Amino acid sequence: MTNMKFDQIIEESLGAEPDFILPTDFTQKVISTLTRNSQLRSDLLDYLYLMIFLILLLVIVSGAYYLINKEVLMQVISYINHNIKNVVFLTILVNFIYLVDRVLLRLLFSKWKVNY
Amino acid sequence: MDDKELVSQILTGNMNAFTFLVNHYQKLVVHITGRLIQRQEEIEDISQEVFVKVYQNLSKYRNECKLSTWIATIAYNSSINYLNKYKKGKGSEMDDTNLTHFVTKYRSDNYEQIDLHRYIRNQIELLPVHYRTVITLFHLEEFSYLEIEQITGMPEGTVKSYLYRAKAILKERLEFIVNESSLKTVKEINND
Repeated sequence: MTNMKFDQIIEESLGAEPDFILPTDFTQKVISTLTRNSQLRSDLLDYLYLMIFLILLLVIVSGAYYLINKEVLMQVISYINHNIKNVVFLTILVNFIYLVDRVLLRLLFSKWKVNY
Repeated sequence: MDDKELVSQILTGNMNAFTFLVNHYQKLVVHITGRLIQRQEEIEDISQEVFVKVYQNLSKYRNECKLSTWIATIAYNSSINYLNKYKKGKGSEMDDTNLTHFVTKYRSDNYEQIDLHRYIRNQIELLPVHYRTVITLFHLEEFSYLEIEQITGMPEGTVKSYLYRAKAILKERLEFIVNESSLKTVKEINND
């Protein structure tokens, strides 16, 4: 085989398509991933905004009670201090349920929809 | 639809335009990720990651280069990151022993029927990663030296040198297959 023939064969092979393939629904999967990412970001932001809103509300109500009736506020603080474990547990539980309901389950369902 | 119009359509939220982009450039992306990563099960994930990055960073695309060059850069960087993360220390080059077995196998089959193109394609996959990269970008995707420099960050001289050396290696391996003297060696191996 001549050198020229070698070169020709190599050149042809270099330009030949490799065997790597993507599934036929690849584009659909990319679009679904983007939609899911965008939905997740939006859900997390909603969750964050709600938490900020609730904390602000709590601060405002506490401030108002501090000015109007300090006694009630002190009783509430005292109750929380005495039941700190229960209060923390309840807060975390409510937060977690809300997070699961508004963010995690949606994410799970959208992934499930894509895969099946 | 030209690149500029396509990008502006996507940036206004037109998902059909993005679907068009994915369909249009998926071959380019799979060629780059495939040649670099070489694991079919990972190629889809990395390719998907590439298009997600393209979508998320499209507002940063400034028309300074072709859209294909910009997408190829993302594909190249994603693949290299993947390789650095998971494949550190694992070489993919075939050693001489394996090569001899490969040749022997071919010789023991009908030599006249050897599919040289297929053999060379297999050999391309066994080249070092930078050689495979420049071969894919230059020969398969037909990027210019300048574009390859933009994509990979390798100087033009290095790209040319890699291309030359890659071809030299392939030629050497091809000669080993068809050269009479090497066939004698193969016969000796078979006799042993």
